[in-house]
Amino acid sequence: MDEPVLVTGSTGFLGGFIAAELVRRGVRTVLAARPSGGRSPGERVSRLFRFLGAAPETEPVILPMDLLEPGLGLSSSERELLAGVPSVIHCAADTSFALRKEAQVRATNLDGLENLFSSISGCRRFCQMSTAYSAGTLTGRIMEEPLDPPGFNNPYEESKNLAEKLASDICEARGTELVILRPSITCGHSVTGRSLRFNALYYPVRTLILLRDSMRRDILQKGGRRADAMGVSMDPLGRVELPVNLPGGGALNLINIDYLVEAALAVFQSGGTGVFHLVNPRPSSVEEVTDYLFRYYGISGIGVSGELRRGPLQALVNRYMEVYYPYFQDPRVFDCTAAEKLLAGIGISCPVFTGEVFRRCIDFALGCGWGEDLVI
Amino acid sequence: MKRENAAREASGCRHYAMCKIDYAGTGLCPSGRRNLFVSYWPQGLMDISAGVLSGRIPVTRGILHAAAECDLCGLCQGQCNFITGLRPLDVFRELKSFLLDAVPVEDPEESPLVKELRGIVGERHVIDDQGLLYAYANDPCPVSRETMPLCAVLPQDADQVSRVVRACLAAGFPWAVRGNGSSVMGFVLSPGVIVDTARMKRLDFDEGNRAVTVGAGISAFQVQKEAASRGFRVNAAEPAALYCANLMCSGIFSLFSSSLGTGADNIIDAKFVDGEGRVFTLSERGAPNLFGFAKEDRPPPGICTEAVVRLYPVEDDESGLAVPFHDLPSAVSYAAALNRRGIGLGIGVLGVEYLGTFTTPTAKEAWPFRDFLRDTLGLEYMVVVLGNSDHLGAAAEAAPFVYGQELMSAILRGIPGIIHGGLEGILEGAEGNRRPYEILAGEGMEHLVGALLDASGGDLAGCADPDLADFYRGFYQRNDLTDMLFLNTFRSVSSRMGREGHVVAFILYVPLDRPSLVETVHREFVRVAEAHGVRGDFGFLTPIDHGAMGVLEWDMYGDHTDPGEMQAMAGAMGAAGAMIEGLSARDPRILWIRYVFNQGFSRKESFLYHGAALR
Repeated sequence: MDEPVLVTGSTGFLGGFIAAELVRRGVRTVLAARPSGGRSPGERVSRLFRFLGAAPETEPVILPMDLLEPGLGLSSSERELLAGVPSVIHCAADTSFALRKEAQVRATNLDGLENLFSSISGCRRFCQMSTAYSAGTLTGRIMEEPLDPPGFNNPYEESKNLAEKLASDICEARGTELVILRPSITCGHSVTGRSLRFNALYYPVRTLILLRDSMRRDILQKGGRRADAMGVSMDPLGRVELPVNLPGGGALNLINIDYLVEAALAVFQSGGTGVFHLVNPRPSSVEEVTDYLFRYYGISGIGVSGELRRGPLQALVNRYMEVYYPYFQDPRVFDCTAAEKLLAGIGISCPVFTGEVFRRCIDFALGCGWGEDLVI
Repeated sequence: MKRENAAREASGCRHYAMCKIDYAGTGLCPSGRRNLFVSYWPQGLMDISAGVLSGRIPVTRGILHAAAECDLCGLCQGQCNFITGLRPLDVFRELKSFLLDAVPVEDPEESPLVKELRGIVGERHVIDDQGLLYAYANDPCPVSRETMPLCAVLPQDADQVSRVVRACLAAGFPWAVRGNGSSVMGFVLSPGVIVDTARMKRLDFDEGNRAVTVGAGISAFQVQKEAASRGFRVNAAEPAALYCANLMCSGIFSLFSSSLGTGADNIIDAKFVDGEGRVFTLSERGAPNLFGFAKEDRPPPGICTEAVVRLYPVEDDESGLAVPFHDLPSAVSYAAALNRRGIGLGIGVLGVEYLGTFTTPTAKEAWPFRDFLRDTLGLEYMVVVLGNSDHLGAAAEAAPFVYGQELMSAILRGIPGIIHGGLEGILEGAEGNRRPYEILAGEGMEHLVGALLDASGGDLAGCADPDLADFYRGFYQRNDLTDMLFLNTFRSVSSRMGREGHVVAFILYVPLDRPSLVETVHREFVRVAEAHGVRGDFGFLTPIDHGAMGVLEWDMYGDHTDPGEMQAMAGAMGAAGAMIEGLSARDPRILWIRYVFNQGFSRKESFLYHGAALR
């Protein structure tokens, strides 16, 4: 690929891993990023590459781009450069599920997308990083096609669905090739566990590990009054029993970032257009995940049932995790015929998300304080 | 501490007078107790230090005496620092060092009036030393002007007050009454005689009649503390404010005004000395009628030398709860509904500003904690409800979400952990259709929050300067500063608002039939403050009289030692006054408390519903 590729959100999770892989492959890149924590976009990209061990064969061009600023916050020469970029992988997004942040999510994911299109007049091929959950509350087999669900679980899902439509309309009007990628729940690297974001699967696990640690500390150091009140106990091996149920009836569709990067770039570089589900054909049941929690993290007592328990611990877990319950209970199958057809020919398939992979991802998260120690 | 730093530190005193009440249970300044005049209390000595160390006033014999009387015992250091963040002991060390070789200026000749006053109240109860009087010459209000009095006197009772007033009248000197030198609004400065009420210490309980007689030198804290030790409470406001002065100025309003009322509601009788020096009591035949109200600027009806006020029994099962809200109209609606239904002994809508200021151990935790409340929890207001178990049960049932006392304790004890992100990780990913403050509410949350934050008072004390950590720790151990009932009964931490800069408080009575009106008032204040570049925020609102009306406080903050800030503040005050008058013209039920000033003995019905008075 001789022509430069613009990657937006290049210091974010998906965009960061994709940017690093592109430069590793010697692809000319234009990387769009915002400053953060007093660090310039350039410094952040350098830190990212160091973190991911990516030694660029060609120096990327860094654009200090803000999707919400007029003219993307760029100088006229930067805008000129942007206007000539022929290929774009748009990964920048606000992934908050919070209703309180709905306006902010829509601004980034929709207004930002429109702003971006207004500045990339030379773009001939556009890749929109969407999500499998842009299907909202649609039931049945979810096809690789435009979707009109009856509702959504959160503002993020809705904004991504609307962004697909917006990108389709603009690309159709301009004659731009459009690739829509719909990954499912994306976790860290399958071998190193590395990740840049710790939401989705990580958050419920983090909550349970926090509960384990706080209750263990209460039992060991404070006499266990709080643990007693919550019905929590600890066995002689230090395993903490949290007597709660998680809703079952579905499965978590988990993929790793390394698969996503490989598959996304393969689709993008294939010349194909349309919608592609980058999902795991063998989702993980909630029971499997609770088994991993017991095996690797000493958390026992978690049941999986359509009926949740009563009591303060269950109420507490519900409040902290209910935003993820729709994903625990998701029985849907994401059709991936188009993606498989394209990827199978070049030997790319989604690996099984095993317990060992789960452990690597969570261990990495624990090692970096759930991202607090990662400064990108 | 270097001299210029000491002068600057001394200028930071905002006259909140917490050094004059033993709110921490550690004892009071020996020099202040011996000499009584404010000049000898840490507050006054800070003013004097500011004047002397900056060269604004000469060294006098009185200043040398006040400095010598201070034995650097350090009692004031913790008491003041806990509330204001200031370090008076460091200032006084520098003052004493500065005065080592100082030669005082000549004493002025004693005026005939001073001589006469000494004859009335006793030699040692009059000061005319200009250095000592500097402690009575200023206050931090942006519109006040330094005014040096002729002298300050400490009468003991109504008879002496009467004779002082007559002497002033005869000599043609004005006088002003000052509750032991505490002045923050510029109203009690005088070039004549300052009548300091500090010696009028009568405090007699008549439990059979559920009444207490309070002398004009008794602070709200003293009367509340003594009442509490007998199983009672009074309706009291700021702890260091002198109780009778509070009654006189504007009537007493507190969260307990929801049930105990305000104005004349708690007054059984009172003794005054009028402007001619005549003594009268409210209950005597022919006494002036102070219970009515006229919407006009009025002079004080006299000097209140003592008042008999009501006592209310405290029940064993009293406690508090807090209800979080993200918008003001919802919070006001809830508070007003409780009051309408007679639920709660005390009710207050508190803004994040107060929540952050009152509860954090030092100023440096206040902003991060406010940010946590606003950004992480998504709450802007909390309705605090105080009451017995029946009240609290009913209040909880009517509330969308409740933070019980245990959860509030876990949060407040865990402030150091919170500002280090102890709850953010678990809250930020949980947020979906619920606001984060909703997620934190609920059965059992106090256990999780407590365990996560590893709550302990020691952590709070660890926020203090290392040399003061023991004071903080001791205070936290003696008093539960996470107990909503305790905090609102004794109000030990509410003066911490002075830590944020000097406060100009705008207080209004507002109707509560349309909660959106309260929001409009708030927005108007925000507009005025922003237009003048002044920091300000909603303070509190307490519903009164069955939820019909509310008393609302909106505060502006500024550095009273910065002329630029005070100029901006003066502009904001003028604009806010015009804004309030405009609101009041549109809805006459909106009543600015400046019109109640000096009419604090009015019946609340007289001023709340003044529009319905016979014409």
